[in-house]
Amino acid sequence: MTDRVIAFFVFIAAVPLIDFPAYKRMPFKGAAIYVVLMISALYLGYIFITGAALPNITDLISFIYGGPAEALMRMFKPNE
Amino acid sequence: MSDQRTSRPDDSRLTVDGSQNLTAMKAIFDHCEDIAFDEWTFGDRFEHNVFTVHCGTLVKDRNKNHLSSTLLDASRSLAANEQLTPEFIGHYFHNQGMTSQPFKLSNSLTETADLVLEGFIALFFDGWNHSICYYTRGIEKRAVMESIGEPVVQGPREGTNESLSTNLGMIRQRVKTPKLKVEVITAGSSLKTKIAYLYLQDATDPELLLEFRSRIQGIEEYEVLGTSYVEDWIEDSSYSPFPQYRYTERTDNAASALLDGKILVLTDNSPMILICPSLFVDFFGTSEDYYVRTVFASLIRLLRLFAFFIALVLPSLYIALSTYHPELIPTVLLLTILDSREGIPFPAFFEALAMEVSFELLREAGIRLPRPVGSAVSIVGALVIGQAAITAQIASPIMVIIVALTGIASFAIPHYDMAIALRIVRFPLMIAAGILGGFGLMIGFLLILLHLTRLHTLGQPYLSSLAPIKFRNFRDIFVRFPLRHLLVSPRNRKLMKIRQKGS
Amino acid sequence: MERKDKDKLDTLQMTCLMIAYTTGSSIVFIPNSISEVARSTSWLSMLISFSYGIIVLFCVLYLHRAHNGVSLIEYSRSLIGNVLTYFLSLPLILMLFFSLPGVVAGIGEFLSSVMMTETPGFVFDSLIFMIAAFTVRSGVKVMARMFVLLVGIMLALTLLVLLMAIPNYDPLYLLPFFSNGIRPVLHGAFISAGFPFGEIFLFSMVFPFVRGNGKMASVKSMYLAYGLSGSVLLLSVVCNLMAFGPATGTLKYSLYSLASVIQIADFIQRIEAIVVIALITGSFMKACIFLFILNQIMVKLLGLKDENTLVYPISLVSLMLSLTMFRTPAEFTKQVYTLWPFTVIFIGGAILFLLAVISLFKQKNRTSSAKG
Repeated sequence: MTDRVIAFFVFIAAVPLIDFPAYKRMPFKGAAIYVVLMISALYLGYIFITGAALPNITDLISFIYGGPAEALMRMFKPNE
Repeated sequence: MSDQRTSRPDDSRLTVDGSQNLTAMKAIFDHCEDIAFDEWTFGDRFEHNVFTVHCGTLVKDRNKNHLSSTLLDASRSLAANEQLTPEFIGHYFHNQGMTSQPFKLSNSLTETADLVLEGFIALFFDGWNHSICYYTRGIEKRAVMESIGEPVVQGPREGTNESLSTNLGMIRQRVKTPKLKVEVITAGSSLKTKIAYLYLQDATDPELLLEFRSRIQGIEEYEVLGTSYVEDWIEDSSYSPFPQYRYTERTDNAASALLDGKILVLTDNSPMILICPSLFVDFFGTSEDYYVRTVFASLIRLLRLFAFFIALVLPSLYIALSTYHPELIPTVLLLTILDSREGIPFPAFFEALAMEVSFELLREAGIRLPRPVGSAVSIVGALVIGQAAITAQIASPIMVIIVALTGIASFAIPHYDMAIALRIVRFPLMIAAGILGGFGLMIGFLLILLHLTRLHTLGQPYLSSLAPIKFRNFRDIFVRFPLRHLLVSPRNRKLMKIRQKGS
Repeated sequence: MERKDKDKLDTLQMTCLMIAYTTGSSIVFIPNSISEVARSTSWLSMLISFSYGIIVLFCVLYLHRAHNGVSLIEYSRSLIGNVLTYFLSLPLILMLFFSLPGVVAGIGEFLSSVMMTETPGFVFDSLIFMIAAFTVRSGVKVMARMFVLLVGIMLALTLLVLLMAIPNYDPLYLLPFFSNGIRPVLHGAFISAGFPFGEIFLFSMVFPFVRGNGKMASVKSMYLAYGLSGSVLLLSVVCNLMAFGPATGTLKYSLYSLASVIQIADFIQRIEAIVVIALITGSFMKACIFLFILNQIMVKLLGLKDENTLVYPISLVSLMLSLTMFRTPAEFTKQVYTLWPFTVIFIGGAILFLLAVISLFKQKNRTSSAKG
């Protein structure tokens, strides 16, 4: 657990450190998406550190495409 | 013969009054004991005064009396009953009368002082506000001999010395075309170093030249001690361990670089010639490759490539394999390694690091020791330390062999700057291999490759011919095709094209 | 920012990018999942999915030429309008936020389970993302220059391994045909159409960077390169089948296992490390290209001038995703071999075909209105 915390802090700190000079020149749209991405990273980081079973992108994909994909699978494997 | 009548607006002018000029010159050269002032008179009744200023330590041929030749020259144009006066002499020189040697005229104190320091002798006539300066420099310079760092077994042994004019002359001797352009800049107010850059007009890419010129601008204000200052000023990345320009002290190397379309930079008082730009693949060839036969030259080039990889990778490979991936070593060798590593208290990484660092210390120490002692220390030091380390069980025999092989391999790289780069890069690779084994090594390689691909030298990609890949150039990188093929379709196609167009 | 033509990639560089993209991570996992379902007919499945890929490539190249070399987002804007483009790019972005972490998670998992078991997975993933981010930020030209060399190494090592394993091959294993009917073949074709052949539709974000502004110097080379990638993968499948027969489906990392059974003259054995170099290189290149494509989609959608703005955040999010996405191996299997091919074919392929058809109609309208 500790190594995960340390690792995550290294990751999350590295990005602003490297990108700092570019912040002034960033246009609004870019900055907005940047912040959205960083917040998502924080959320995922929490999942990473604690190992909690919170919703993730795979759940989103399963939710959207799961139905038709499963139907297709049944077509390929009728006996299962 | 040159006649210069410049005067900088803020400088003090010479006056017509001779004694005032003398006082002014003496004031400028106050406490400069090597500047000699001589006073003379001429005329029927010795009514005209002259004084000369020259720098005794710079001037050769001190017996030559420039004053008398000046007077003789001027008097030849005298009419029958005219007297030789300073006004007449002034008139004579202003109209560029024929003299026995080239002269410069100056009416500025500081300019005359500069000329004296360049090795000119300045004559001041009482009653004339200009000074006449003749070039008399003749200080001893090192003789033209073989370059120490670039010896060859067969081939010319002409190396550059510290005199800019000698070096330029030697290059001119090899490249006898007016298309060889020489442009000179003077840098610094205290050193006033002359920086000359040469290029072959139809061989060099005009864009390259433009880039070079834009970079070298601004250097005139700084004190430039040698060619390496110029290198640092114009290079793309000062922080990269990899050199972006090559040095040579051989004129044949310089001439062949000119044919390749490179720009040479020479500085006064430095024998090093800077070749820009220099691509990564250029560091594997020497001029000697062209003086030996094709097969041998190709094999030696491949050997150098091999040496490059060994020097870069061997210690890291050993660390990675022995610590993380012992299953990859063939069983027989593995047993030997394990056997020899028995009893060593440190893991392979620290052992390797310790041995490499001591090798670097030995190498650095060996440079500064005087010759007779130096070689003895290197050999004995290496043997003794190696043997002692093994006996004390601090290092394993395998490690000593690896360090020795790495050191020898790095000496096989012909260019000192590239060998230094390898020495530097080797250590991070060792650390990467020590932390993550084979994966760390791969990451290290990818980072190095990325860095090299991103690096530009004078605007050209550093890994040109490899990345972007140009198979045509492979004829002269890792192997060397017979000169017949290299000359007909030369490395520099521009020259060939222009010649074809012309004829 | 207008790119001058000479700052773009030449044919060789673009073809190497394509080979890296198609072969990159697939070389690690092929033919495991396919042979699990299609057994000895796996090579047939590959041929079917390869044909699908060729059709997709044809559409991509057509659109590239028809719209003077602009990217997918840009010609989508001109064909179906700004709003619909935003709408359509959402599934694309979702796909990429799955596939990019997927590639890195795959290679990280491989290294963790096979090579260096004590090292935690996040070390591998983070380092790969770090270098990928640096590479993408250096620009497409630097990337292409590097990849020409790396692709050569990857292909050479792969072929070397396939050649050296010849003593282990038994051609008889290829024989039993259609033991379960046509369905397994189609299933295998479905999987390989999703990974990797169908993924080529995303390459429409990369083609703008080749010289010619739509008029490519050599379209034939693109097909040839795609064919080369297909052949290498097919060869890998065939060789694996010949070496392992019915057991092929059980080995998770086929090429690696193939390398481990090579034994020549008592000295050359356990050369899996050679293959690992190829695998890491391939996955790294694919991750770079995916990152590049995702970044390009965002740049083109938002109209960003500095193309490097979002590279680090995207890499960070993808890193966290790769570390958290796959909770169980079963999840991995389901996502990669069921859901991903579905999205590639029915979403990605559908979008591409839709745009191609609309483009064709618009062209016909233009020519008929010019005539009439």
